[in-house]
Amino acid sequence: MADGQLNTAQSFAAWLAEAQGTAPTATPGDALELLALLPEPGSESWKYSPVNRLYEALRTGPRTPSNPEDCAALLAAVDTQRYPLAAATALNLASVTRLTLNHGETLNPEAFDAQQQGCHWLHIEVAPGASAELLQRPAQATGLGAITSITIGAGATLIHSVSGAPDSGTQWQLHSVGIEQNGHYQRHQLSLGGTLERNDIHVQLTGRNAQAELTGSLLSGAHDRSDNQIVLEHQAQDCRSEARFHGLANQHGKLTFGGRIHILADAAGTDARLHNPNLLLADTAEINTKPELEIYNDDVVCAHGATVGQLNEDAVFYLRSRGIKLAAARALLLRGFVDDGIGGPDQDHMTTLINARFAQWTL
Amino acid sequence: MLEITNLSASVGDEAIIDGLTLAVPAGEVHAIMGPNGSGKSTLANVLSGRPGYSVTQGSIKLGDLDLNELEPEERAVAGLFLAFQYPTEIPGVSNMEFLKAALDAQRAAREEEPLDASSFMRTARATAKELDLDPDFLKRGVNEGFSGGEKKRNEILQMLMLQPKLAILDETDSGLDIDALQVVAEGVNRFRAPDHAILLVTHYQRLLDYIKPDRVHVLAAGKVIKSGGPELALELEERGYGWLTDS
Repeated sequence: MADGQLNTAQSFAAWLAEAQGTAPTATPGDALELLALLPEPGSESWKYSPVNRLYEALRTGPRTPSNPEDCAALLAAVDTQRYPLAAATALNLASVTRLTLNHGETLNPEAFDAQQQGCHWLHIEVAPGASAELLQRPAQATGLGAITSITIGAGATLIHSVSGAPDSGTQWQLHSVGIEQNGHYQRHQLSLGGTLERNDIHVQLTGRNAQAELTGSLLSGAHDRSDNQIVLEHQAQDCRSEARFHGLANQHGKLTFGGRIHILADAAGTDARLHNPNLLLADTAEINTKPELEIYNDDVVCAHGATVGQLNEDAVFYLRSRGIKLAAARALLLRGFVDDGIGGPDQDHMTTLINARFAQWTL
Repeated sequence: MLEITNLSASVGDEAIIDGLTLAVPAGEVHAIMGPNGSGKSTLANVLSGRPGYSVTQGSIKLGDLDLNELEPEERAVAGLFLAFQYPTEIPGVSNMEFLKAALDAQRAAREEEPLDASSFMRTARATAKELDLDPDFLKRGVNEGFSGGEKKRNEILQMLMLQPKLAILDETDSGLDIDALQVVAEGVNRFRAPDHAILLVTHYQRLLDYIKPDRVHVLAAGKVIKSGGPELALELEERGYGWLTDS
């Protein structure tokens, strides 16, 4: 096995070096150094998903050398130590969109989603004090690497809705969100899985009294893989974060969830909670979940938990005793479980996607 | 309406109901009383067709239908309703959505037109009000975070909305304070009708001060050991169960 994996990793490294070599001279040297950080197959953060397949897809995918300023800006906007794959994306950007959201604005960047395969970067600044909405709902796979970076200015609020494409193919997505003092981030996510879908979410509470609320429902059926890694990083005092992701795996679907609360030494007064309940609907499906805490301050309130279970038979019987047929009762309970994880301004769209997905499943 | 003949049933490998015979005619209210472990709740669950409860002999008939052959949802469509002792919490499914799904499913199975949404809502709100339940109660998840009393009132709400032929109330009085008990009893009394039958499963006589039964049956070791009029319940209240079971 080592040979095959090594070859893929080596060819990817060679491809990256070449990509950097052919890029204009202003390309930062950092990118190449990051190669050393690229995750190895089977490493902790890629334990349940084959990173090699992503390397291979990036290497053989469309090649679009980035503008050097864009490349440098992207590398500065995200934590490349934590997400070295961002370097590969930075060298191969098919599109870059940078916008400021002012008070009362809603951005529905559908235009960016219909673009060609490749890597994409969307950067949003929410102006200080503004309340704005960002609705992402790609109709199809957004490409191999899709990075959304967001800075929420002091006292600003962003409501962010993310509905995954019905089949996201093979792709890596990073959502990197920084929240400044008194800023508020509210995220609602629906993910439907893909051939290999990896979603990294990095939320940094950088200013005092920043708040983050994340909810999501993560579905994986057919032979899909959906790997979701959330990091909530508390950097400043008196910040609050609450994350709740509901997982559902059916058929041969494989669902992975990693939820990490990271509390830095300066983050006194932190209140952080993370919850990940999961339902496993078939013997052939798989769910892996791992909640983690990393805490460097004593003055914090922290809670995390994850469960994997099956449909509550008492609840199924309760519904049947009222005249609802077995399949309909199961569907109603699953809907309830999934609906509990979504919400926000794009809920109707999410409901449509869920209905379509459930219609493909035997419940 | 309900005819149980020589019924034996077990939970897993354990035989609980042992040759029970009981008939509840239309228009009547019968109370099943008995000490803990006598099989009262098992009987209620067996009648509703709960998985894990199996009939080993005898028959259960609702009108002309043999219930033994039917799935729980088919029994509900046939007109059987069980008010649960411990109603299940279902987060994420609103009470309104649940009630509508149940009513629609039953009407569809009986080949009736679905109730239009606005008259359904009107009826649900009015019924909730009669049971002293806030209209917001209908928007909340089914039994989610409800108090004990709210859960029991929610069972009665469902009964009044679904209008079954036979309602089985399993320890509906347990965990209720006196005010909630009166509200629940009023709901049940409103349900009384010549074409409805009610089976009250209860440990205490208290409920029967508010819902007057036509017959009282004492269950012990899985069978009816004594039947009588309402005065039997009063006698049980005074003397306990010992004089009937110690023999």
